[in-house]
Amino acid sequence: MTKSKLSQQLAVDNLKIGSHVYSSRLIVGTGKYPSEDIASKAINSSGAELVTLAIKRFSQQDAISNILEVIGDKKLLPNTAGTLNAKEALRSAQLSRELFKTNLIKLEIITSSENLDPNMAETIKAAEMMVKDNFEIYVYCDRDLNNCLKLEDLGCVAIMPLGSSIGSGRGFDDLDDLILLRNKIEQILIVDAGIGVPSEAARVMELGYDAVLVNSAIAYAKEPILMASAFKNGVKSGRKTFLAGRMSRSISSIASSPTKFLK
Amino acid sequence: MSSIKIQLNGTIEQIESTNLEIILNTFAPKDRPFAVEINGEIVPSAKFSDYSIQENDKIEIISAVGGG
Repeated sequence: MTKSKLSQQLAVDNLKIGSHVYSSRLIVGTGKYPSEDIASKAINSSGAELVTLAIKRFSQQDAISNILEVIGDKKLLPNTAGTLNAKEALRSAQLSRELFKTNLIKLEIITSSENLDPNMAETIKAAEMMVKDNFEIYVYCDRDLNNCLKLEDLGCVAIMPLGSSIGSGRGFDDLDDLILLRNKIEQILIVDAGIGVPSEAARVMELGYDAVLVNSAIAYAKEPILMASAFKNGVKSGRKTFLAGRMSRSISSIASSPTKFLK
Repeated sequence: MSSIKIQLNGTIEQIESTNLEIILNTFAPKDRPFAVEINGEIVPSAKFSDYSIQENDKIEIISAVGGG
């Protein structure tokens, strides 16, 4: 990249996903916060412009809690959480479109209520159905290259492999998988699930990932508002590192100072 | 008129009116958006006032919740 191109990119380093453009590369979830007040402040502190949320049956018992007030004016990315097959996911997506008036959807089909890893056969089937129904699909998926290529070919606007299990905070079960995906997938790549600390978010951004999606690592932190700010900085740092280009590795030392005293 | 039995968000309810809008005035949230599905079909809000509920219809009222 030339210097002028780099400075242009740093000045306006927007993230275009499908038909939308974002200035933040951190997407945050809205679940599990200790209170609505903390959730609202943490979401704002993260700098995220796009936030995930879910749908459920309305219950009068929930009447005091309105997540949309907590979220404020952020752009919404409804998910299909809790669905176990393509049919349920499509139904969830269509209800979300009616409810939130958006065609953005985070496609997420889990294996079971105990195993939250993606059911890839059903996810691919659902992606086929949702593309035909004009959804812009951000798809939660495994790290299998062929599955991700298939989802890219189908027209998903963002491929979102899990770093490790949802809510685990383990970081990356296999960073090499993620490196391979970045080398092979041209579409927007976002690590979704498993990230525990901002340094892990920075690490994948350094590899050229386009964004990260974080919920539990912020919501379960001792100080969620502070952690949200830390993730904001971690993602920015990782992105700048990617654009700056790291030095090459060497197996031997290479001096930064003269190697002979007074000569 | 006599009441009819419906299933609303998984619970059996006896309702006096078959008009969807009147039913929603009782059961739907008033302070936030919601979506309605009847027997697996989404009903747009513009059709609420003209929609007649039948005996044993399954109504789902959906609203937003936090999620990742």
